[in-house]
Amino acid sequence: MQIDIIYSKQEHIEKAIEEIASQLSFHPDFALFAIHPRYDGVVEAINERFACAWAGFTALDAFARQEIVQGVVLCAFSFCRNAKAHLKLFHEHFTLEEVANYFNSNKEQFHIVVATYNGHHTGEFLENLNAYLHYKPIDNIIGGIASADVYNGELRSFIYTKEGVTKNGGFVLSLENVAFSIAIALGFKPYGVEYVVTKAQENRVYRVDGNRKFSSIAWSLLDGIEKKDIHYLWATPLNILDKQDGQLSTLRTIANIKEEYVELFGPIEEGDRFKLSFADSQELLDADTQGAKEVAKQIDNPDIFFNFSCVARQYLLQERQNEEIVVYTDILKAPLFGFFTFGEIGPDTKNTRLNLYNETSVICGVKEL
Amino acid sequence: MNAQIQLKILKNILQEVSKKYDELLHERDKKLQTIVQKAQKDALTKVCNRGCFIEYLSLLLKKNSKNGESFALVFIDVDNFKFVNDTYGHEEGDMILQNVAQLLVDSFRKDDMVARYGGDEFVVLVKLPHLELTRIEEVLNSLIKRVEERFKKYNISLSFGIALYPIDGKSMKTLLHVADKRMYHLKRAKKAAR
Repeated sequence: MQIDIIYSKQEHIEKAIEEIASQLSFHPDFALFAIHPRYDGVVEAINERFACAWAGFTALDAFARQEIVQGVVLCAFSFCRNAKAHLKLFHEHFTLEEVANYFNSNKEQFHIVVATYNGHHTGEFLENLNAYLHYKPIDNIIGGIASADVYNGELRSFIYTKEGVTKNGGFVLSLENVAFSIAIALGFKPYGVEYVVTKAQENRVYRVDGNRKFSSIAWSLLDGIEKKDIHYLWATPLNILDKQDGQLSTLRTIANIKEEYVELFGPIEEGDRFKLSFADSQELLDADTQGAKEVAKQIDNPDIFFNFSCVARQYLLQERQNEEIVVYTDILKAPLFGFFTFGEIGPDTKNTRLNLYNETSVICGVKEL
Repeated sequence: MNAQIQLKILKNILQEVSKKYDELLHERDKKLQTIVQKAQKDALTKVCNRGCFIEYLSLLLKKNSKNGESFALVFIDVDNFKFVNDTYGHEEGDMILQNVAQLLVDSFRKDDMVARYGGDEFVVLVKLPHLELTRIEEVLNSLIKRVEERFKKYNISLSFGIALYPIDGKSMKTLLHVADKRMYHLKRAKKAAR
């Protein structure tokens, strides 16, 4: 598989696409774009320059090899042997059954999912999807929630295809005849004893351990800090434990604290058990190294690797945010494409279900067969 | 977010974790206390059981050997109890034991200890000089009257024997032996008087 990763930071989409197209060294079979949400007229600009099948999504910060780009990043695929790319779009009124049927019917393929950000609904949708997936192991799906920002009063988290812009949905890019290896880097260490969620609804935790207000606990974590910035709590996501084995199931980042409840970036259920966790930037990078090494062990000389890393992770890494992708490219020695997401999608540790993660970094090496 | 804020958050996490550990330990202690209390109580009469009495008496002997304070050990037996059990059944017998235990608790002070020693035998540890020997005897005689009146139908009474620490002995074995012996003397005397 031939891969080209090209980016442009031009202010106008036409110029950015033109700049990218002019640098392409081959005619791609498929083009995947990460596009900053500030751009308008994306579909028209790409259709004018790219005749091949393509898909795109909004990304505030996208990865192009060893660089973080706030512009347009193209990942161009040209298949040399048997690999093929298929694009499936789900927009507006799609159902769990439709999405699950697609995965169930294409279980031999490798899938990259990118979905629009829709508050906690996207996470719930992905978690509910598990009930309809009828194959095991579920180890062939990764992805991320398109990151977004508000422009002219509109939250812009979009999916772009030849046909137009999707504001509520997602696409699945399926690759046929490829080998792949996935790792999920964490870095957060759990602390202390378990909390049991006693009252919760969707992405809100009201009470833990009987009648203890979780909002009071969350606020207490900011004690002694002058400016009570909720973002600081991104350093301490909830380490949700697996119902069966008590090991880590997923992380949940605190999104907001209200008087009666704490909002998370993802669903949580009554009866869930969790621990508080913490990581500094070095611990995150150490986990990244370990994750990249796991991928490298499973796949020799990948043609490309994808990385979907959480925006909360980016926030915690601060001035070291670039080091994450440098660690990956140094170890995997292949072109990198990806972005900082509003939620990562990947299999659980036992490959029995699909998880929406928070504060993780999903790495996947891919090679044409 | 700078390193100082990260440190503060980590410190707050550890404080919360430590608070939760304290709560769990407190909860565990409470549970343990309930279990211990249950283990110390006689299931039928709800006064202390024999094990608890022996543990308490040995602690008292240790303590009093140092400070020299005196106490009385009272051994009490329900007369004619076997007849009640055989004639009226165990339920009636149990009811009598429960009543006697409650009357004993009501007759003595809170810091005196009432225990069921086994079967129809009870023991009381009375701290002196709260009650002097004659006063203890008065209390017991008044109790006997109340028992005899309340359970007239069953023709039951109480016999008791008192051993004084340190006059009658300084060990558990001696004190129990003396009190038991005196109680049987009284029982025999009562039988002879009938």
